[in-house]
Amino acid sequence: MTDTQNISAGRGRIQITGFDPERVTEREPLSDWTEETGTGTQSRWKRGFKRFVRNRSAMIGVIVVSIMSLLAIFSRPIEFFGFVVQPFAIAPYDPTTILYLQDPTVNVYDPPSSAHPMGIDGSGRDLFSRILYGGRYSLSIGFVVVGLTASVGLVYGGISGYYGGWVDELMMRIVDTIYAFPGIVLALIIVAILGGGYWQLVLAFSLFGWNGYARLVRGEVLKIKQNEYVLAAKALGARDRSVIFKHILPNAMPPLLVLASLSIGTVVIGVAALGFLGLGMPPGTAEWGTMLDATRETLIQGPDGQIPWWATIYPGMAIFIFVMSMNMIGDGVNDALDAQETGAGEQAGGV
Amino acid sequence: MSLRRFILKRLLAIIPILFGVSVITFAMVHLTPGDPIDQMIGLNPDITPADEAQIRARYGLDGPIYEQYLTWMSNVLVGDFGEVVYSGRDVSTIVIERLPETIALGIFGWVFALGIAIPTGIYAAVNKDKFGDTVSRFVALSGISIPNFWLGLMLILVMALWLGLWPVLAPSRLPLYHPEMLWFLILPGVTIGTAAAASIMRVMRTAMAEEMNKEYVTAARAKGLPERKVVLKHVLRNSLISVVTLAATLTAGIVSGSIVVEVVFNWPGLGREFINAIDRREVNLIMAITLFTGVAIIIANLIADILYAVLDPRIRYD
Amino acid sequence: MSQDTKRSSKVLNRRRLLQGAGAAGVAALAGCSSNGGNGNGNGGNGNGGTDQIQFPLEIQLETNADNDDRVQLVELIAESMEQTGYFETSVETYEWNTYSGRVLDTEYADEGHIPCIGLSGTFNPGSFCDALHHSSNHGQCCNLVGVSNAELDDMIDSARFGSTEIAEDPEARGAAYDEVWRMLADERYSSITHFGLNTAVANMNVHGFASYPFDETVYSYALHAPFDEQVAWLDESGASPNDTDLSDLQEGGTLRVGVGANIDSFDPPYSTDTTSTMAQGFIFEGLTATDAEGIVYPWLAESYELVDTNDIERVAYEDYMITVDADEDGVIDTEEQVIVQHPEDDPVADDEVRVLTPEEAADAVADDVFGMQYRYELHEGVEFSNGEELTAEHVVNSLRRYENSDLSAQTFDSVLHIEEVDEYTVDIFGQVVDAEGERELPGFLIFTEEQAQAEGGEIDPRQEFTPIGTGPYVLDDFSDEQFAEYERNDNYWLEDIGVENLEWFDGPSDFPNAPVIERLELEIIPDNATRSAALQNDEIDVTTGLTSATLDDFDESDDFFVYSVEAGGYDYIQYPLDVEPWDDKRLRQAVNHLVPREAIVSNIFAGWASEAWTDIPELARGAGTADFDALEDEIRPTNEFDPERAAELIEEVIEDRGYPMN
Repeated sequence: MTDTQNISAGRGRIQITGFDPERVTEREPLSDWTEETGTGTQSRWKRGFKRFVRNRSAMIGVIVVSIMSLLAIFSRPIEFFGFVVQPFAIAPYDPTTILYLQDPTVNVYDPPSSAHPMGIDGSGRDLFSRILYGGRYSLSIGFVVVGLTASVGLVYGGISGYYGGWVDELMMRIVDTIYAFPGIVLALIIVAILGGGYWQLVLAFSLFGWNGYARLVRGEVLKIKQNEYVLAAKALGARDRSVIFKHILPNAMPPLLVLASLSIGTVVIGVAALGFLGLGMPPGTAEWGTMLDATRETLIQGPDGQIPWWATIYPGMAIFIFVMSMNMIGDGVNDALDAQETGAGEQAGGV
Repeated sequence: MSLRRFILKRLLAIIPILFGVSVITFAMVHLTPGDPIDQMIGLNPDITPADEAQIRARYGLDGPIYEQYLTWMSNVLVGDFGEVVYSGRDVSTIVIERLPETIALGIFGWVFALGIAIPTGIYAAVNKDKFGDTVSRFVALSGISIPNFWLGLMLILVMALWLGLWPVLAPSRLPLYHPEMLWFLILPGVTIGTAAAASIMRVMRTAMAEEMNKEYVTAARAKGLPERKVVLKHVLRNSLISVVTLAATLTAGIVSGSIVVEVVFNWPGLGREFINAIDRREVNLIMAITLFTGVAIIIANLIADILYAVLDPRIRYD
Repeated sequence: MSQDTKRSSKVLNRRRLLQGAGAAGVAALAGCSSNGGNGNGNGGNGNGGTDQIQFPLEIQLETNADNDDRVQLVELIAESMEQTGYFETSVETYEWNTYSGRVLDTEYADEGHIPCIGLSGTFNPGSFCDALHHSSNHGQCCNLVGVSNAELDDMIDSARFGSTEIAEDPEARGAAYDEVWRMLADERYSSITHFGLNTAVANMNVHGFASYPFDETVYSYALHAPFDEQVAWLDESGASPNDTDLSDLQEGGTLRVGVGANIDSFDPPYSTDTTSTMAQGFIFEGLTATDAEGIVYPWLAESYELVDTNDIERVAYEDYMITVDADEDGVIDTEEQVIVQHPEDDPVADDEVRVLTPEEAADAVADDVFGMQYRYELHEGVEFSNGEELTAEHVVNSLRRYENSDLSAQTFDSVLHIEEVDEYTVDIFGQVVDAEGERELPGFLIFTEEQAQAEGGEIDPRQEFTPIGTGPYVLDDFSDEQFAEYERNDNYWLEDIGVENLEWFDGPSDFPNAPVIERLELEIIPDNATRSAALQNDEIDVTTGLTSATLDDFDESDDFFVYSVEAGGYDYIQYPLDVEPWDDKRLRQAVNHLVPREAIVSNIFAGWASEAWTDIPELARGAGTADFDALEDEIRPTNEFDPERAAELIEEVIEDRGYPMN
């Protein structure tokens, strides 16, 4: 059994070295929170929060993400069943409006100007409006996918770790198997089968995306399970469910939160990558990656042709800034909840 | 347990995973409503039911799903991945033809990543919390956060187009092993290696910093050993263990990175072939590349495990 | 649109008929389209009753993803519809093979989507109305929405087949087509958006080049076409192609061509895509050749003549027909090529159908039952590149190789029978009098004996079977998806005969007998941008199908030349007339008024196209109309961008039919 855990420590795309039970026990205790698990959960969260707020780069991340989210929400009015629930429109144009239809002075790939601060895209649409609006897709898919996968992973890992034995063996073999595929490969196949679209993308990244969380949670559970208070609770006849929900899961939450906050960036990049490959949202959608789809061609112009750099730079910039901010937040959460650094970087990028 | 037994045990543990990988690969493509043959027949009025049965038999699609799986798997085990409908070529020929291109890209990405990350990581750890450390951490975080396809586009835009250092595309007739190709490997290689470099740098820095707090370092310093020697001889060696582990696991990142990067740079590797296969719904090719990817990652992880076990004296094999 | 070899390979090419296109979809991932054949309608505008239909009307527009210009075109039309407030549009794109398979499925017509696709026609004006609108082309190229109008079918047929008057009097034929165009303008089953330009961009080393209306023939035409005194050569002295003429012609050199798609096949009857046809065109030749205007010249045939015509209909073959079984899907149970199927039998409805196969066709011809008879006298002493001498037997066996091939449907829509008269004479018989017979009957390529006996699709270097023809080049080397290299055929027959000895040749005496360029290297570079870069990096000399937006740059540059000619094809959308409310022609006319043709040409194609004010591309206007200008004046108003008129028409439909408007 032990070597299986060593194996876990060394395998997988997503790996939180700091949370590996074996290595943590083997290593000099750098972190102090494992010792106080269960006894001071409340104060740990509080302390963590304080530490997080003091972390300058994390706070910058929070501010940037908030601004981007607000811009996305308020970019265009939102209607639900004919009722306007959000009447504001920061974006000057509808993201799909082809401007030259109404206004022949606008041409495709017009450079940035005061009327169109980020220029015009290849179909004659206002890039600025599209960038603002585009946040709706990337951001919401990121949060939805992470919410789904973290929940599934929590339950899966919890069950696997708590029951142990052959259940654990089987469940972890499945996780190992999924680990053998890069997420983007699986997502590509799913989208190829189901076609592009919002919920298809959510599914593509959720269907197998939970296994990083599952492995992490399982490791935590194995560790916590050995703690005296859990053993005591079990000895006192507490039911499985109450042990899991009262003792084990709350303690597995901090590392889960770290991984989750770091994963949002990965998912957003993944969605954008599929969009770039033309397999994400339908063409013409103001999704950041999809907006980059056609731009590779524009980089190669005819002799002395002008490259519409704005069409390439701005959408990519939007993705980059958002993911960067999310990773800053993730690092901050990591620092706040756990004094030692995790191998945080390993999940982002690489898509 | 001896090292040999450990490796043997790990090899055995791989078997069910390999099986699982093949099942997932197969199921992803086949457990969808309808099947490829239905689509073919729907379009071609000349196909009689007899033809249909024949076609199904030819593609191994005439039995229940588990039989189809067994047919496919037994063919795969003897190296027969079927053929591509589009051109009638053998899938395995295509994979063998494209593989060197991707491997070359991957190796270049690796060399770049390690070459950048390890010195930077050392520098950052030694100068922990100083200005240089802060800058390098920021750069590393950027490296992780930048979508690699966009990085590729930006490199083309800036390096190739604005600065004119590169022609935009590699000469198509030059064989891969031609020395001149090295130059054309740089941009895609850097693009692929950036995320890995950033990750490795971060881990390197952490591991080094951790190691430098340890008693033996303090003791060595107290003994008056020069700092340089302490760092390079003891700290580095121990820190590299975690880098090695991470490096192998990042193979998955390189593999998936190659898909997008090859499209950006029009690099004729397996990744671009995968996208083509998806575009053309070449089931056999999709399955072959997916399976291949899975197996490659399993092997990389196995190597990582073994290296880890060999390098880290603290790990016992039992 | 066929400005683009990549793109034009993504055009439904009527000539290389796509009956076999289904095969391309073999490996289509099942369920790749969420709204696939089962019609699990997500559009809400399925085949339901009136009560489900409401405005704004939901409608999905579709096209192939790999053609950026076409995607933009569809987005623009969708946006234009959306802005009226009467439509809620969505745009869906598919990979080419998936898409062509999807839209060529007969059931597609019931799904209620608006497809957009390109058509590459022929010199036959009928190809621009027949393919889209003849009921027999439903499920084939390119009647995607099941247009089925018996009157229109008759009009289209009678403008080509069955009447000596039409065949002999261009004026009468033009008038017959005029009626077709008028009807199409009124019924508005399809909206033609624009006529593309076939553009080739070359560097300054390429001299004497010219484009051709059909992509697949551009290079073989440009290299050597004596009937138009066309020859291209390489001149690396730095002289501008503007300043040189035939007297400066230089021999030799290697022309590096960038082609936009892989060469999928070297077996002519078993390939339908543009690039393959182009690659085969250097090797194989036919009995006749066609100039840039569509005029036919004898080629491998020294001469030909129309021997006889009979004004008969296809029913006349009734006595010779055999009866074969047909299953419920309409599949006819015979191994033989069905040449004529009895017009009164319906293979789907009937259990048995009467058909004419090659054997019975021979019987009919023996009894002098045929529509037309052409006699071809072959040049004597023509050799294939392997030294085999061309005889009438080769011609007969070559045509027979087209039986039940991917091109059988278009070959045997007119050909009845072929017969060897003597060693150098063959007769080709047509089923009925065919106004296009001169061009269409000899529309096949000639193979060596071994090749004529080869299995379908077998002639391919990938299968160790090198294609061998009578053509000016021989295939030297081929690497799949990389390149194809050709060398001049040292044994080219025309060099022995001499071009000045061709009876129709009236050009200068020093006109070369064969292409002067020694080697051809076709570099396969699918990506438009990459091809553009390769041209600018001097890795290739000439290419076609660059993105229209970049053509101006090339045109203005001193280092490149853009050769363009109006293409024999167009892009179009079709309306799902089987699905309510699209059965109302006013709705179709309304959407047609929402197609911003001028914006399409200026904004999407940067001026490298022309607005489709009629349905007829330039090259078909001669034979296809009696008075084109009058026709254009008449039809153009129905094709103008006019949102107000569109709104009126839609309001009428809503009111008449009582659809709710939200």
